[in-house]
Amino acid sequence: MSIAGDLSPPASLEELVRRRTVLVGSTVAVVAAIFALVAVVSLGTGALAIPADRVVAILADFAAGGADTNDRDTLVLLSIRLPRLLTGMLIGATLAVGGALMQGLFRNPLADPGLVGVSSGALLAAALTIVVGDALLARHAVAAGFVALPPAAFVGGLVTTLLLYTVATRRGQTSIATMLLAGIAVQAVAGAGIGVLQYLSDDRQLRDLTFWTMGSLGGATWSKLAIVAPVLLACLAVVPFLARGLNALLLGEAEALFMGLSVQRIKFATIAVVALGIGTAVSVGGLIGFVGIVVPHVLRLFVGSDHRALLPLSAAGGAVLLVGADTLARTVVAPAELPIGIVTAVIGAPFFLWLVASGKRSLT
Amino acid sequence: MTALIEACEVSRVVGRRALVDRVSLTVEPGETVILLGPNGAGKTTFLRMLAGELVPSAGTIAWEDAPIARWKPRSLAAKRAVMSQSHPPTFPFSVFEVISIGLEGIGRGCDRRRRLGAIEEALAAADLAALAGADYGTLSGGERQRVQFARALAQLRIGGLSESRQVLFLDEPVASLDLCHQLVLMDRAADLAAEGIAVVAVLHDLNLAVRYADRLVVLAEGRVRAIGRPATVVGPQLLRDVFGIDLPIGGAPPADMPFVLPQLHRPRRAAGSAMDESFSGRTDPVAAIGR
Repeated sequence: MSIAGDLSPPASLEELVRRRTVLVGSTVAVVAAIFALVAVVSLGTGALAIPADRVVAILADFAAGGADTNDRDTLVLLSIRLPRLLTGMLIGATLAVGGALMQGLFRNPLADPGLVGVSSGALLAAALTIVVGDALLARHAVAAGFVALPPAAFVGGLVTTLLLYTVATRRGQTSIATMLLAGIAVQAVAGAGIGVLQYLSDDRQLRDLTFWTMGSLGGATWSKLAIVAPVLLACLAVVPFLARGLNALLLGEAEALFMGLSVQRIKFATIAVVALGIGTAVSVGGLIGFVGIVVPHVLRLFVGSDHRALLPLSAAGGAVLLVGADTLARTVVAPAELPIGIVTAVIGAPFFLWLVASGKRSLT
Repeated sequence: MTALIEACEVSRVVGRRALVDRVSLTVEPGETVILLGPNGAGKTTFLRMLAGELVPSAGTIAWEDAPIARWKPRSLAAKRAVMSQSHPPTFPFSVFEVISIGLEGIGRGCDRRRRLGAIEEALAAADLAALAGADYGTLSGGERQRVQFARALAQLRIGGLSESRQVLFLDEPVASLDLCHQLVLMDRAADLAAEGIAVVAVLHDLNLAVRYADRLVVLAEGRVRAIGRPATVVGPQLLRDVFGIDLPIGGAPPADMPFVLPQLHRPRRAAGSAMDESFSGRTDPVAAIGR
């Protein structure tokens, strides 16, 4: 029984590893191809249609540093559509990764970032800003609400998560089950608060609130992107380092400890990344549902649960879904725009149902 | 040489109930210690404290003379592997993935071929070679148990590259295994013990415990009721006092190995129940045959 003697792994395990590499590699290639397609279509579609070859040419010029700023197509593409595309990519990636992280942490396929209180906290803070802030500041600055909204939502989300984390942590150990239960209580309270605010708000505030609740990328600009991109990129950069720990957690907390991992550190890092990332994403795009559930599940059907493949692929898949949904949101009822959350639900849910029903692989 | 593990007067109190009450035990390299006792005796709790998952309410546990809290999770993981009692199905993973995830903590430094070699050996030891690519969620309870055993074996192998003094903890490792795999698993554990790895296991099967243990630790209500060689520990008195059963001890070959035959069991009647007495003749098949 010594492994020092014979170190040559058998052909069968090598074969398993190789097949897995091929599977993950081909999934990456497919997602990348879909992404390129969606990006070019998204950049070319709108009130001003730009053919695909022009889109690619303009992007190439831009990348080379020689974009013609007098050209109308170039102007529309670079100053309106590109920042919106990049914002959509980043938010989509963050939402999907946030979902995958929460499902791993809670070991529950139904978990989403909302479970750590980010969404309810952010929504309550946003509603307060829209309704109460309006009463305090408005008259002379209608725009005040729009300036204050993102930071308020961000702080609201973060404060709620911190509260839940504190409640669920005893003697340095965070109970995931307690956090889930406390999260449900917090959601109920936040829901009640939002209900009261909706009751108090006038027609315009109600419409603002509704639009924000269902999300929109309409406000995306280079300057906003410059503020949120570093935060979101930092969150996404940390994510690959969580993959091994989350894999271990899926086998059970005790097992992860026995394997030699610092379980508490993994939990804290995961919750921190989700709170920061989702808080930031929500502050820009509002609440965009379903991405965090659909994308990781669809990818799990293809590549399984290994987070080392699942997390990066979820980021890419989330970017694809959100950019695609945003393209539809701003073209279907042009010149008006649909809230993007409606689109993600309408295209995401049936696709998801079809995949689940086709039963390629069990989800749990 | 110092003891591998030394537990001194260890207790674990939850609420007002002492799950484990002042238990002391030393574990030496290469010995097989089996914890026995009725349900709720504190066997699993004690095992989890020894393994470092639970913190004792009182008493001390030292590994190689250093308090267990002083050990980093990763260095402890190189010294011991644990096979727990329950193995819930999770998100879709293959058997191979489950075992290789088990090496995430300590196997990162070592090269891929060595990891694959350890996994291959563990799969073979648990008789799982044919199931390496199977979905863990579709396995039966017994097969899952063998996967967890293989995971623990692979972890010990990789940990063995840096640590020579190791312990394998098994919490009811054969609970849902068929007879053949029960013996295979216990034989593999015995092989490891022969290599110098200490094995600490919770078992319910008295005969299996007697067959494989160097030392038995019998717990009841959190306390040690008996400790020592199987032949000296297992007797009619112990069965009556600890397990509440009245069975003779057989003397199987080899002569000093006690065994218990549940076939000899007769249901006990609650004293003084007219109902019981009137039915006892007809409902007790053994008694019926005896007449």
